[in-house]
Parts: sequence; C-alpha cells; structure tokens
Amino acid sequence: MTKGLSLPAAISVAGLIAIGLIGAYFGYVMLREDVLVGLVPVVSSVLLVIFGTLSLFAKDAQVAEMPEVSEEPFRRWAAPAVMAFLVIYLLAVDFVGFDLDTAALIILIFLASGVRRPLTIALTLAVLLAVAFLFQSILGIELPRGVL
Amino acid sequence: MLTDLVHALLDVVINFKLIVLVAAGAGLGILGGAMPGLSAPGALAISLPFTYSMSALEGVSFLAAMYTGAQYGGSITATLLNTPGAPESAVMTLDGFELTRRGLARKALQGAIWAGFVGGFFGIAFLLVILGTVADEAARFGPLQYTSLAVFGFVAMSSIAMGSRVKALAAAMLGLLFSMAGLDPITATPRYTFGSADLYGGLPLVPVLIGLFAVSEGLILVERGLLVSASETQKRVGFGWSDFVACWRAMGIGSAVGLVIGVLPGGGASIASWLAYSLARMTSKHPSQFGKGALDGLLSPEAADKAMVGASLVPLLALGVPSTASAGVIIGGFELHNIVPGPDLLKSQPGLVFAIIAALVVANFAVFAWGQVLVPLLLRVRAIQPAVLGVSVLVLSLIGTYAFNGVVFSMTLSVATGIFGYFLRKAEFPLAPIILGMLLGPIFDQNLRRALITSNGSLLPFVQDPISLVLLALAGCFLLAITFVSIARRGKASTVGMTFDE
Repeated sequence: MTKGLSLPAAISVAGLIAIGLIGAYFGYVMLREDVLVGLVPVVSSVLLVIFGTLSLFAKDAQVAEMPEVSEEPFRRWAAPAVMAFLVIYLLAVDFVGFDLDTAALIILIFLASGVRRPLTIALTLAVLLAVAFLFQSILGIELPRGVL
Repeated sequence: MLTDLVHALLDVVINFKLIVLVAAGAGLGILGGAMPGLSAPGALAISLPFTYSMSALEGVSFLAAMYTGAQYGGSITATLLNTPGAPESAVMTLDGFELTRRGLARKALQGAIWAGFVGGFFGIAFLLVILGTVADEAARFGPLQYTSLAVFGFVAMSSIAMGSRVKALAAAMLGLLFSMAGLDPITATPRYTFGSADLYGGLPLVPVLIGLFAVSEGLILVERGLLVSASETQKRVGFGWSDFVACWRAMGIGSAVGLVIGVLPGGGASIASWLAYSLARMTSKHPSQFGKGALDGLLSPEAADKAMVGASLVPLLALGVPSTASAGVIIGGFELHNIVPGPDLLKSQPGLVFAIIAALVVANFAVFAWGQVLVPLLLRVRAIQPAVLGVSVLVLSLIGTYAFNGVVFSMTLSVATGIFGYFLRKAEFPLAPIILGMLLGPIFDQNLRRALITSNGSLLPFVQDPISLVLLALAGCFLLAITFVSIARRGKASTVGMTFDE
C-alpha cells in the first residue's frame, strides 16, 4: 500500500469482492431454503469479501526481501490487447472455425507483442496448427469447423 | 512394501510404452519448467488434456514424470538467464547466476541434476515408508476427521504461503466458493448454476487449472521482452565427486526440508527452497560465500524442490488431498480416468499405486539422463523470445480446454479464469490456494454437513474424536506459530532468515 494501489491490484480486489458479494447474496437465498446447503457458500463468500478487502492493506513481506532479478523491458499494452483478441476469438470460433480463427489469433498476438519477423510467425503458426491436427487425429476430437 | 515396489518396478521396466511416456514426460517437464514464467503446474496443466488417450497408469505416470522434470527445469533459466522458471527457483538465481557469471554454468547445472537426483530419491523413499501408515489411518476417517483435515489444510495453506497470508486466504476462499458451484451432491439443489446447464456439474477443474496456470502465464509471457543469457565463455569444468562430498550436507538439509514442507497443504515449494537455502547457509562453513556463487547455495534448494515431489504424493495418494498445485493437476489426471485417489485406492488398486511410484523412480533416472544430454545444449542458449512461448502456451491451452469436453464453454471458462488469474498474479495473489481450495472445498462441505446431521448440529464430536482433535490441535499450533512469527518479525524484521544483505 505504500506505493499506492496498482491497477492489477485494484482489479483483483474489486473482482474478489464482487464475486464474494454475489456469492453471499445467492448463498443467503440457499441458506433460507436449507441452512446446511447454504452454510459453506455463505461463510466462504463473507470470508472472501473480508480477506479481499484486507488484502488491500497486506504487505508482501517476504517478496519484498527477495533479491532483484533482471528486469527486462516489457510491452505494457500487449496483455490487455491479447485479452481483447481472446474474447473476439471466442466469439468468432464457432463461425470462423478453429484453424482460421487460431491463425488470426497467433498473428495478432505476435504483432501485439512486438514480434515482426515473418519467419518466426510462419514457423510458430505451422508448428501450432500441426500440433492441433495431430491432437485431432490422435484423440479423435474435432475442433470447431465453423460455418464459413 | 519394498517387495511390492520391486515387482511394480519390474512391471514398469518391461512396459516399453510406459518407459517411453515417462521419459518423454520427464523431458517435456524439464523444457516446460525451464520456460521463464511457465511453472510446473502450468506445464502440467497444458499437458493434462493430452493424457486423455492414455490409460490411467500411463496418464498419471506421465504427469508425475513431468512434475519431476519441471522441478529441475525451473533452475535452468535461473542459473543461465538470471530469470527463474518458477517462483520456487527464484532463490537459485542468487548463486546459480553468479556461477554462470564466473563461467561455471556447467558445474552449476550438473550439480543441480545431482542434487535433484538425491532429493528425488529421498522423496520416493519417504513416500514408500509413510504411505501405508497414513493410508491405514485414513481408512478410519469419517466425516468428522475429513472435516478437521480440511480445516487443517486451509490453515496450513495460509501459514506456509509465500508472501501475504491474507492474500493466500482470499485465494483459498475463492477456490472454496468455486467448488460450491453445481448440483449439491447430497440434496441435488442447484448452487451457483445461474440457470446454465453447463454449470450443473460444477466448475470443471481442468479448464480452471489451465486458465489459472497456463493462460495467465501466456498473457504474462507475451508482454515480456527478449531474455538474454550471460555472455561469458563457460569453462569446461563439470561437477565432480569432490563437489558432491563438499555439498552433501546442503543436499541432505534441502531434502529434509522438502519432505516436511511437501506433505503440508499449501503449495509451499517457494518456502521450501528459501528455507533450504537459509538453513544451508546457517550450517555452512563458508556462509559469507552465499550469494556470491556458493555451489551448496544452489544445491540445497534444488534438493528441496525434488524431495517435495515424492512427499507431496503422500497426502494425494493416501488421503486424496493435494499439497501442491502440481499435485492438484495430478488429481485432475486421476479424475479424467474416473479414479478417486485416497485410502480406498491403495486397497482397491495397490498395483496402480505402486506402478505410479515405480514410474516416479524411472522418472528420476530419466531426468538425470535428460540433464546430462541437455546441459551442453542449454549452455548454447543465448536468448529466449518469451512471446513465442506465450503464443504457444495460449494456443495449446485453448486446444486442451476444448478437448476437455468438446464445448466452447470450457474455452470461455479457461480464458475468463486466465484473465482474472493474470491480474491476481500481477497483484501478487498466490494461485495455488485457489486450486487447493477447489479440491478441499467438497471434502469440507460434504463431510461437515454429514457430521452435523449425525450429531444433530453439535460441534462437540469434533473435539471428542482423537484423530479430529489432533488435526484441529495441529491447525491451532500453526495459527499460534504464524502469530508468533508475525510478532517476532515486527519486532526484529531484519533477523528473519531471508535477508540477503548480511
């Protein structure tokens, strides 16, 4: 807390508290129907809200004492961009099909993470799609074909 | 017990397919563990769906071999690139990377193989000695004892968590809450299903595991820049017998620490390696060399990491309770084949249990052999592009989760938990307690309710039963111990055994 609340910490704590509150509400509904059915859900939800809130004030004592390891530069917006690509990927996979959708995802992730070498992108694409093909033929699982 | 193992070992050795799978698992584990950011549970989670087509023995042995390999792999990048492959390998950067800077990477990596080999066998021996006794005791467990065991598990988990205990508890409660989703197994009442048929069976473990450990790691990898090795020319000095003799005490200490921490629920691999490092330094004849390239500073935590593998299988096989996140993934492997680990498994399928332990012995040799082959190759690694690893992890995760049950819902669940897991990681919330909470949750909920129904709502039987009382007393001791340590730390923060500026 000494350095101020970071965005990931704020999102994490807000997420935990929101899940806890939703859990507590529905747990309470269960509790009214049957005490034993709702007991653990309500207790765990309330404790999640409490510990989630307290974590705002938690000190990572041991972590702070760890030695510094090499801090390599990173792309701040790569992860949020990839998250957005993943959401679009999930929405499109049944329509576009696994192969095409995955190929587009791979290229977009590489672009977001700053990899521009065509050879790297092409090789990764080929290897991963080959793995997907092997996976389908060995396990007999059909990945989404799409309607296109 | 030893005769059973010898028979199982002979059966495993003549099973060519199993040997190949165990050797492949060990090799893939080393590579998976060596990928910066991809920890052992992450590597195991990605591989989990690939065990669908295997038999139960093959699948679980493959995962156990991967676990063994991944524990060694984590120290490779810590030594060569000053970037730990997993949180528990962070301590190995202290002396491992210093040895690399002095041109002694070959000696460091070969020494780590030996330490892992020694620690691994201590873990397996411990597993063999204690498994039967624990399983016999566990066979007498009923709702009272299982409830107290779950309470002990939650307390131990938060006590030995690295970093903030409050965050570990929050993560454990999240896992417990996740485990409540689905039809209640006692009354068939829907809980947290929100009218979705996909949730009637509960939140499936495999997509959540893959999301938390693999997708979140993939997201972290894509934002990292190029990792570059130390450019010093490495000498052709290997790890010799004299080094082994000089470091035996450190390896012994590390192994002992790994055994103790390994059986406790809480995913305490990080604390085991740091504790092993601290104890090795305290008992060393040259403590001032620690952090400046002391070989025993690298080997002690490595032995602890590998000893944990066998030790963590004790509660898994005897009680059906995982002590680490990787053990949780192995439970997922059992679940895929509709096998419930626990005391009944040892009675109904002792051959399977001993074959898994035998496979672990083979895996230990396989990791040793792979290490000899891979070290010269790994010394040539000059740079790693994390984005390529990140893309691979993400795509393999998506394939794996879809294969779990052939519906896009699994992928969605995996991506959702992965995105939330990414933020939790960034905010330094430990993820292992979420999985342990998910696995301990049903044990706690169902047994607590059965115990309360039997006792007409009274809590008194929990302290009247000797086994339950011992487990609750142990939980109390842990609570007292962490309170004492917290007070002591506040009083004299600099004297905690994990400071590095002596």
